[in-house]
Amino acid sequence: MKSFIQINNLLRTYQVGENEVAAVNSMEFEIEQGEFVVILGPSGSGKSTLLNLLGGMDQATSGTILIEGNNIAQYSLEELSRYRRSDIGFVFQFYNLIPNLTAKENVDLSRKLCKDGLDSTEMLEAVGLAKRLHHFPAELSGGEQQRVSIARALCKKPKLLLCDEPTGALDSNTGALIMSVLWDISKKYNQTVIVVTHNAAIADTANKVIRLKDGKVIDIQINENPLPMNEVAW
Amino acid sequence: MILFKKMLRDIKHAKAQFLTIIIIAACGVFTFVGSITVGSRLEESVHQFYKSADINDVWVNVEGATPQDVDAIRKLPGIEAAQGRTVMKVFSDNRVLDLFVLNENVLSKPYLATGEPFESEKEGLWLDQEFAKANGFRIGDTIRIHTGNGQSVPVIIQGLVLSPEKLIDVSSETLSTRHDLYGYAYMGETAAHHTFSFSGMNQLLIKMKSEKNIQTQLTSVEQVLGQKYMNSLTHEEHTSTSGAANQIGQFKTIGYVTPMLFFLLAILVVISTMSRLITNQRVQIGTLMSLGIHIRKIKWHYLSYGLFLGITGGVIGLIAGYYVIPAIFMGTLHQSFILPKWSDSFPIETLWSIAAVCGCCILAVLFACGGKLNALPAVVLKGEAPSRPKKSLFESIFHSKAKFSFQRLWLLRNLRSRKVRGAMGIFGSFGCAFLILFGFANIDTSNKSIEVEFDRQYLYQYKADLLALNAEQAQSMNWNQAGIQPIQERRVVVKSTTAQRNLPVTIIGSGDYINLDVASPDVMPVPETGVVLSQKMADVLGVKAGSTVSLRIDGGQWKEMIVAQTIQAPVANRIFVSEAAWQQHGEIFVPNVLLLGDQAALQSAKEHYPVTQIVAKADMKEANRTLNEGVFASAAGLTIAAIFLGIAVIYSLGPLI
Ligand SMILES: Nc1ncnc2c1ncn2[C@@H]1O[C@H](COP(=O)(O)OP(=O)(O)OP(=O)(O)O)[C@@H](O)[C@H]1O
Ligand SMILES: [Mg+2]
Repeated sequence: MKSFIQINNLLRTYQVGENEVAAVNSMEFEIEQGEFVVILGPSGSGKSTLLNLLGGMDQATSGTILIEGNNIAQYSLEELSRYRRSDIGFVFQFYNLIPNLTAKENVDLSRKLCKDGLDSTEMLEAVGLAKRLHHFPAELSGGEQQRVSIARALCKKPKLLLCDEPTGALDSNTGALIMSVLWDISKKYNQTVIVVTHNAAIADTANKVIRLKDGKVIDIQINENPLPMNEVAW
Repeated sequence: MILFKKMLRDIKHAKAQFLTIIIIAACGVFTFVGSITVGSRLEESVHQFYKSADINDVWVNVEGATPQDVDAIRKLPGIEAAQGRTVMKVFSDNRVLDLFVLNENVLSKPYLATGEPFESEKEGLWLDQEFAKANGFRIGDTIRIHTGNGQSVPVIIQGLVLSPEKLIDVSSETLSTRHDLYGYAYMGETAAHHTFSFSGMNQLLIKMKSEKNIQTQLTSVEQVLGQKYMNSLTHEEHTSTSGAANQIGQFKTIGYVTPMLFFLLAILVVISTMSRLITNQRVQIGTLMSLGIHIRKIKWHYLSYGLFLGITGGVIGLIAGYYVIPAIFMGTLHQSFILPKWSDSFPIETLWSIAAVCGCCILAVLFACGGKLNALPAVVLKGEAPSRPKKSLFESIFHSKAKFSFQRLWLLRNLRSRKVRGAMGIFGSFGCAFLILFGFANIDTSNKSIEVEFDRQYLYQYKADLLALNAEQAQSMNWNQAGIQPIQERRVVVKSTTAQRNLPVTIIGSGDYINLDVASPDVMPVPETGVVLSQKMADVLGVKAGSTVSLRIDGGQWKEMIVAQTIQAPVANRIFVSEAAWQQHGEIFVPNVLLLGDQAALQSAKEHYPVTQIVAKADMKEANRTLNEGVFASAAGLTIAAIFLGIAVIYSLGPLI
């Protein structure tokens, strides 16, 4: 059987002046439906670049990215836009909420893009923000904002939830909380989640850990029995 | 819908900038809608009146034309209708009336305000309604009139009328309407014959079948009239019709030119504001893209800012312009234009200005977006690397960087990498400087030319109009009185090999109240031979001192005259000739105006000559100044627009310097 995500010989280079920099260099790996995947690696190792390629935010230089058998590496801008709309949920390090929209409006904005999404109010309640529906991002704490951003990503019922250092801007307690929200969701909805992080401690909670260095996959660790998030020490 | 909310809140958060744009857009639409509404109301009202009165296309002044001549003209192929009449000046105490004596009433029919309808067989007089109002005359009253030398005779007022040829009947000198002193009246031929003696028709009204080739048609009219033809006036030359057309034209010009400035300004401010907004919202745009919102929808979102600003400004401007400007101007227009009915229409085409302002704003947003939105979301989110600045030309020329301070280098590099803004800045500052200069120059030249005309060219104190004299009367009179200079003002057609103009000519008798060389304080004597042209007119005609031009007076033979001199004159459209030069060409000098040096001269003029009307030079100067205030206002408008433009430019250059 084919995997949910299959990456083959993936290359993404940047032209910097005269030199070519390979941010993602001949990567190969697979991810199964419903897995909680953690990507680890030092700064500049190509984690964000990889995530952008997976999320249809960027175009590969060469190689294939098969999502349920469709090679999104060949997609046009138009197709990528449709792919992001229907299949992808993004959670950013700095939340990236629209400042002039309330929490609920931010979620609605995303919710209205697909036909059978989840109710925005319920979604916000699910991440524990029932009392913050009509607050503007500036009136929310960092952790609350990130939870809005998770609600925004999930209400579309994406096939793939991509999180680029979702706890990077948060203190460790809040970060742990966000992580457990993500972990719970992954388990509860059988949602495929890919989390980029610097924090090696959460590696044990993942089904799969992909370690990168200099744009290359240096190790893929598969945990047969991942620990629940609340059993990990931060 | 949610994005619409976002737009409203974004706008609210940058109130000042967006309000500026809305105000500028509103100003543009305001001036457009206002001026066009006023202009087209005036135009409609005037045309309505012209149409209902069957106004003529041409006035032909003649000497002793007969009904047979009128018939012959009527039969010419291009002529739709013709009518003859006698026009004369009559007086009632110190009041002056233009009297039209008609034997039929087909063209330029007077509009009957009250009273009996005009009929050429009826007795009595149909009087200018405004004149009657100002003097308290009513229908049935009798006023005494005389032709200037005869006894005054009583005439009964049959009706009050408005003439389509007298929409603006300003006395030519003070430029103001004194309805108590000046008016007009209509009389039937039979009644006129009972009242005073006069000879034959002296004016023909002609209506052409088509407005094209009026000049060629006139040539055939002239052939029919032969010696009786004097001169002719078209709508462009007639005081009332041209005055009305000018006024309408002025409103339309203001209506089209001023908004362009405001729209240009709006474009600049929208570009700079929206460029900044889009740069600031880079991450938001990337996020919207990451959500999978279609790029078209995101573009539309930002275009909707422009649309919103355009519509808001446009609607405010439309409403304000529609109510405020007509409220300001219609009152004055009602006073300066005497019309039976005023249109209060709303020219629907002014709605286009809203479309125009929206178009400007949207285009400006499109320009501000540029290619910024046509990128991959990853790139948008991260922000594009600044274009690698190459060495600027200056650096390469001078090599040694030490010559430039760091800041200056930075500015030069920025200028290079932001060509559009740089170009906009340069263009804007030039535009601004130009407008300010233009505005002030306008105020200055028009004020100067009034000063030059009345302080340095005209050295008299009073100007007196004389009753029309015939050649014998003029020759039998003694014109040599201290402090009095006789002149004759009339129109001639001047022709060079390249151009032809119908111009007023001043024939200058002995005296020194007209100084043709305004540059020198000493009065320049008028050349004994030839004509004097303003430099501008000489350029128009393509002649210079020493060339010959042809002059034609009252339909007579073309006469060649030398251009004796060209002068820097405050009023370009006028030619001067001395009495001696005039007579050398076989013309007779018949003074119709006296220039008076002082109060004593004024008294003696009243005693010795048939003076009809006296105007002080100070009043004329004042009237010209008042007229100038209009020019002043539009110049001030330009200057304000220029300052706005300057601020906008400096503001948009802000991040650059
Ligand atoms: N737009 C770009 N132009 C040129 N080089 C780039 C660009 N984006 C990324 N790179 C290069 O690609 C490499 C990988 O970058 P990437 O952002 O994927 O790293 P990362 O693993 O996410 O690092 P971090 O943990 O610091 O976020 C880096 O060396 C970076 O210099
Ligand atoms: Mg990164």
